[in-house]
Amino acid sequence: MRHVDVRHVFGRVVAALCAALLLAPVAWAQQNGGITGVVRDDGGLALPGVTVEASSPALIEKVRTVTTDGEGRYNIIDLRPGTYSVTFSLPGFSTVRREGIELTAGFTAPLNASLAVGAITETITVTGASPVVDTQSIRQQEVIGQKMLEALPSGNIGPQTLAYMTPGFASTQADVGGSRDTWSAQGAYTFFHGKTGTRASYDGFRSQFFIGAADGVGYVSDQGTVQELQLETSGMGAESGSGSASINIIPKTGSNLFSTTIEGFYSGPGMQSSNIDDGLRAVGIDSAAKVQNVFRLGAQLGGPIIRDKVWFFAAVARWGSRVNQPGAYYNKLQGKSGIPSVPTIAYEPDFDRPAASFDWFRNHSLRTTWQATEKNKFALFLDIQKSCRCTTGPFTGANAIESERGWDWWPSGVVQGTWQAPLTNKLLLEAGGSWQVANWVNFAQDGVTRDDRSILETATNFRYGATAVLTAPKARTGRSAQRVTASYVTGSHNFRAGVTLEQAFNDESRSRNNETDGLNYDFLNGRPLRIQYQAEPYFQQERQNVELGLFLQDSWTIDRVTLTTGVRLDYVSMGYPAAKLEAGLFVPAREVQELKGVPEWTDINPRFGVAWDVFGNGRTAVKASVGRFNQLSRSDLTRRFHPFNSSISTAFRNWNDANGNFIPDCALADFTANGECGAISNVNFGRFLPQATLFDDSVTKRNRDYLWDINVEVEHQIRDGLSVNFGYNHNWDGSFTVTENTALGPESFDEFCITVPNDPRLPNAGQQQCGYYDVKPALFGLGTQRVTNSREFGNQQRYWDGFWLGMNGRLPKNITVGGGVDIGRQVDDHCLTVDMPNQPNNITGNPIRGGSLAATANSYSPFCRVVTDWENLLDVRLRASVPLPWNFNASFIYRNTPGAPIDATLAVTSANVQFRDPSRTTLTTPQTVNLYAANSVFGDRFSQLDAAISKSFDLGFGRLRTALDAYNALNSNSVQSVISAYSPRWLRPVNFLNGRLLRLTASINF
Amino acid sequence: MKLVRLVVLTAAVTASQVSPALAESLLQSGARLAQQAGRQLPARPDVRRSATAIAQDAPAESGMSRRKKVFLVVAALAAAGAGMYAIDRGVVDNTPSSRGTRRD
Repeated sequence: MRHVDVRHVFGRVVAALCAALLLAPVAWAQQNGGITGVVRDDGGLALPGVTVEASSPALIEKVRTVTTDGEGRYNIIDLRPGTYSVTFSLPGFSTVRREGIELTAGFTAPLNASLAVGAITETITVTGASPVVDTQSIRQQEVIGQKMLEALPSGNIGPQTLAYMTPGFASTQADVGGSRDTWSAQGAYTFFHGKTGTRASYDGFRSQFFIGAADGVGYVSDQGTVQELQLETSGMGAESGSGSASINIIPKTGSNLFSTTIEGFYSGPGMQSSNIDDGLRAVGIDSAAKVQNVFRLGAQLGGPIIRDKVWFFAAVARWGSRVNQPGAYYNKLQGKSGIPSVPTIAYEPDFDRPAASFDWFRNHSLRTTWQATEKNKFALFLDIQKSCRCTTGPFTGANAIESERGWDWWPSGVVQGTWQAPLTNKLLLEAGGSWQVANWVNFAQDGVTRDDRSILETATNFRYGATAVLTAPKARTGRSAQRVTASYVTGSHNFRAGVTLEQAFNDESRSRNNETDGLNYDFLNGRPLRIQYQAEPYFQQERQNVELGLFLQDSWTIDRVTLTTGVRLDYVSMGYPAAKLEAGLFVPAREVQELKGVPEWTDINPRFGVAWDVFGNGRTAVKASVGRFNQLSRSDLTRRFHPFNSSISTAFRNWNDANGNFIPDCALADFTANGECGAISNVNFGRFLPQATLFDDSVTKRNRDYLWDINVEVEHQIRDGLSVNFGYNHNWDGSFTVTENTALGPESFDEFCITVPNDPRLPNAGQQQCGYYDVKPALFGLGTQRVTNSREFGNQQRYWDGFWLGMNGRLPKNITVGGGVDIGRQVDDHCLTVDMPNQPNNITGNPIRGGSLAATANSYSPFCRVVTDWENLLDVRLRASVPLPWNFNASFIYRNTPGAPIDATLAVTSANVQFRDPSRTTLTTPQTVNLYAANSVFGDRFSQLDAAISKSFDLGFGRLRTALDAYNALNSNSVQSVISAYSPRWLRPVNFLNGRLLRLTASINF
Repeated sequence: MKLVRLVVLTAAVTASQVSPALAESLLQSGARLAQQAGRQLPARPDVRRSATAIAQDAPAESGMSRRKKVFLVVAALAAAGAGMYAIDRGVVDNTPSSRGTRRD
């Protein structure tokens, strides 16, 4: 399944695809909806040859037409979200017209019709509630439309908005009314049911950057362009590329009606409550984040340039935020040392100048839709942005503001184009391309000169003076994509085939703020301790040369059952271009030749599912699906492999500032001990050693990480417009990467024990706990790193079992509801011995900790089987919008999710360990050990209620809407993360929910 | 900060549709100006296709002439543009690209 001959497979699949394209071209259609059903006469006999027309203002071509097949079935696909009228006509029968069919993204509405004998000119209009159960698709999805997005207190709307409302998405740092910086907020969608790597797209094209895990935002969208948000969590078809879940923004288009919207919102300093209570004061927290402003002003204009021929939609927006962080102030002593080579040597808060995180965004977009001929439609979208994520982090006040760095996000933007052609009423073609770029050049904060150095006060772990590193002078990432799809649709078959291609790049400098020698300093109690070196100049590039997907899929409806069978071939190849770096003060010139095929992976991913319309009335469906998915394509392996990175690029040396002048009086380029400076910490620093790390073919040529996903679901319409669903999901990961040291094995380590602190909150308090290891001193620092597949050493596992109960739709009196309950259990088992017993290192060479926790250097744990149990994965999210008299509307979003993980780590030195071997008494290096399994204990549950009340005014020529939103309406101070290092500050909150924030919103549309 | 206040004030005035110190709301201003324009500018019988589209769509709902509506749209967009310009001038822009210090 994992390793196949690429040329062999390509040949077969390309041949099959060509045949498919010749026989029957296709449709992209993942994000679009459809209408399907059976037409009978009033005696119940199927009627072939009935003309079925779907019309909507959302269609620039106005109407789409198909005819029923021999079994009376019809199937209209690739319909944009909107309200549709469907007309059924056949000579000898009265025409039947069904109106008000509401289609959302990805929803196939079941719609049967019965024709009576009569004149075709006689039209019978049938009214009824729009179907809400998709009885054909196996996809598990959530969709939220423009009206609900407008009605709900949605904060800054982006791809994360729907994840925020959907049970099952792991808790992320919460946003209170847009007070979290937009870039961080828009990327908050990482884990669903334990699965990593959610794909985020804009109009079907992936919109994430190409850095590391590549799950962050590359294109920041303007909420003024969002028509719908679509989230697919399971049962995705063969057209879906890498990624374990998928979020897509469906953009607005123009129409035959001119429409102008001016909208905006604002929160200010007088609109926030304090949520500091005795509980927080008891742990020494007496201040919270204070919003200075959260603002937005947007304008959208859409309409026809030529009626029924050319539409346009233009949007311009400005938005941003400024939030003072608790306990954060500018440095009164910045640049005041009087020493030119180190202008800042101390930090003293200037209480007259509180420090804030802030960002702002400027978007300018234009979409045009052109119905060139009856059969050919083109769309072109362009967005140019200039933005500033002016404090990276987001800045929380944990360090001085001067140690922050900003992102200069200019120029950035996206260009997209699509072509759609319903060549016949059975055959549809679609093609498109996208190109996006994001510059993210770092810059220093105001008040920081290029002579300043980043200084880490090791006694308090507080950094000041300047940022530790800048991605400057160049930092640019982007991706492009192309797709061609075709659909051949009959009444009972929906056959699709297609090709997707993606390329991506990242160019990234890394430099120190000080431009003279690029050295940072570590201090201890205000006195020099160490000099931190970095190999400069440094510039690294990664390329995703191609990510190719070829897919075939057919949905076959037999009576009430629809079988969906698909297969997808995924091929990805990455590498880096040739590059030269000039010699620096401390490193020689470096050069690499272009390399491709690191990694180079080919996978076959089958997908299968069945949907059963249980009673044939479109109200109850049972669905099951199983599929294999590759994890989201990303650059971390190529980054790790790049010779500039696999060489030693950082090191330190001790500094004894004997004369107290804060200047290292030694030969800085002589790495032996001399003057005030000790010897360099790594003798390989300053050399170019690309072979310092080896990569096994099992990693670079085979074994791309993947996921199996199994889903079973029952969905039932319990009343007109309202459905409930209940389901079970099981998913598991495959193919893990570990790093081994070629000189070491389990015999290379000595076991030691610690005494658990005598704290009743800790298991085994006061007792001796063993199972920790340290390398034998004679082997310290030896060996070569080798990156390989974990299967070589044992069976690594990560799997999830869970259930959910959800609802979606309308209650009486037009009350709209959504949400549900999700509960699961996850097991992360990495109990295999690579070098150290039961403690493998990950791709970066750091110890795996389990669960969703990142591996951290020198942080070891004998707890290699991490079970996150049912009660700690119970997730409740509800939303509703309630129309009130006099054009008022009330709405809310409520989240009650697992609390913050409470881990306990202990820093140990030789003084507080006991080796099993009595002859050994000292550690080779200090370690941080887990006192119990990470990610298995959680704090109080997280709770947040956002509420809004709005009123609409009919102006005669348009509509004015005003709203007052209350984010965190209950003024909760739910904790989002705590200090995990065991000390008197253990469990002290690091992040907690911002206080209640009021926001004024207004929009006028005409 | 002044800009933000301006945005808020504009939104508040617009939303409340009252006439505080500025004497009338943005909407009222737009409507008044549109009416004035409608009185001052005679309708031309020969219009472009796109203008015809406007005439067919919106006035049927509003009772407002094509010219008034066009003027209202232009006025609203101009106001939004002014607001955005003010925001651009008001936010702290310390980016190297704006300061001309980028070196990539």
